[in-house]
Amino acid sequence: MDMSAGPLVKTAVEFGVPTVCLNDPGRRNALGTAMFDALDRAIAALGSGSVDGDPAVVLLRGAGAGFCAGFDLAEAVEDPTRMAAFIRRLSHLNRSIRRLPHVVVAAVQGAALAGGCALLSACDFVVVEPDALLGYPVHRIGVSPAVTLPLLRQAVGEGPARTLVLSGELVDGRTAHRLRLASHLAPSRDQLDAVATQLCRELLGKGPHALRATKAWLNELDGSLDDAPFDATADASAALADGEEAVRMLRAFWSPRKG
Amino acid sequence: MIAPSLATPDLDSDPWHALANRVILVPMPLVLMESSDGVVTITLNRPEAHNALSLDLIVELGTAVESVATDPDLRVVVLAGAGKSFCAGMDLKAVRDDPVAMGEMLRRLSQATRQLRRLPVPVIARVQGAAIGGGCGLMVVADFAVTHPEAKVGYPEVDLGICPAVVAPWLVRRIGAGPARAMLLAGGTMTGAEGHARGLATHLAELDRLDDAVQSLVRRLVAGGPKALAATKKWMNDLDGSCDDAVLDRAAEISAAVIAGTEAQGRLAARFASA
Repeated sequence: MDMSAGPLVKTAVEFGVPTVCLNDPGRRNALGTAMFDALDRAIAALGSGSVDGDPAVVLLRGAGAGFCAGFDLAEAVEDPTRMAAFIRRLSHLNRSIRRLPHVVVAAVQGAALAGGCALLSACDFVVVEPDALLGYPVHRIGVSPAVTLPLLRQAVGEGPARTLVLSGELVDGRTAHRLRLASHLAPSRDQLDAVATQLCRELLGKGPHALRATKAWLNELDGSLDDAPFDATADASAALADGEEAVRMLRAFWSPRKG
Repeated sequence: MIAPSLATPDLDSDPWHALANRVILVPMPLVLMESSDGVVTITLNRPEAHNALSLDLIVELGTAVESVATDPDLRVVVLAGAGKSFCAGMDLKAVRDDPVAMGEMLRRLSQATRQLRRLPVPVIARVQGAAIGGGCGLMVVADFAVTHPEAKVGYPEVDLGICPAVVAPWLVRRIGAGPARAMLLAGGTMTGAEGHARGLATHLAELDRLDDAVQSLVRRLVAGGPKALAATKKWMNDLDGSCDDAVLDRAAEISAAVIAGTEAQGRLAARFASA
């Protein structure tokens, strides 16, 4: 396991489970250029592992108060072309997580918003704590969450996906679990790590070849291997992000927060 | 050929003995069918084995489903299991050390599930006791499934190193891709109450009210226009890909390949040794 994937993402084996940890708590693990680079490297390093001797399970988590607050808006305000780039990188990161041969478990405390929430739909299991906060509040910055739809629709079904992306409404961990945005609900924040690592340990007891074959078959069945919808929705979101409305709304949203 | 000794009676030439022999040797049918007013009940009949799906049982099930498919008076099919359990899953113990036979069973099961799915009438699974693995697959391919809170249901395939590829398409259609992913990758089993909450069963009743629940559903379905029901079911099957043989054939091949691997064979051997 590469222990030097970069300071923004820590990769380590914890309790026998390879763990990928977003590690920029001061910026709520925001997805900026450097974070995308670090995540891409960490996922690529996992993907190249052979089946034998390589655990079939990966835990994805975020350090600090929240899992991931979404795109790094400070970077996007500085350079308005970044938003479209972030959207395309998110689309590709989601595909590479979904197509990992490993079963991916996400542990979510606090905020998993917009791009941070989109990452969860790429995972096979999502463990949340009751006070976690999930959703796609991106219309207020003139961005469309279309990029998340291919995987979100699979995760929660057509109707709930429609409601979540059109309303931009935030839901707590309990509601997220009820909506199937999360597969597991930890009884409290204190127990999130215990529930997530227990799930990982149980999964490590399954037949690793059977797990990989089952995940690969589910990916084939549900369209996860089909690039066309990923590309189309990324194009739609990116085109909108490059528009005047998005640039103006992002500045208006971000300026009172600066300094 | 050795001529029968005069000292030993030739039992086969004694017509009474031959008849008695035949009566004893003819096995009970593995699938029972009962028809009443357009409602056909197909019952898996291996109660001593919790209706575990042997190759013979799967073949007989397919034959039974095929025989009713063209009955113009058919209105509803109830799929049931004799004895304490609906169906304990594939009878892999009987074909241990024979991955080729296991593969053949998976292909036949895949065929039987699509025959059930494509019947022109609603199919209700009456699930008591257990519906495990392939048995849970039969429950979920039905249009309705009635079970009770204490039943044991689910897909523990990955625990045994097996890939539940044959049953996966039906589960994805029943509960959605995301929940199906979490359920199949987690393996294990759950209670009937949890299975109902997670969408495996459409109806939940106490065990002693199971038949009442099935009958009340049958009455409602029989009241529907048969042509409307057939057209609706056909359209749902078209919409969700239930008629896509290429996908379902591929599912059987994936399951067959994984079950023939060393991981599955090793885990199955360990399971049978401890059983």
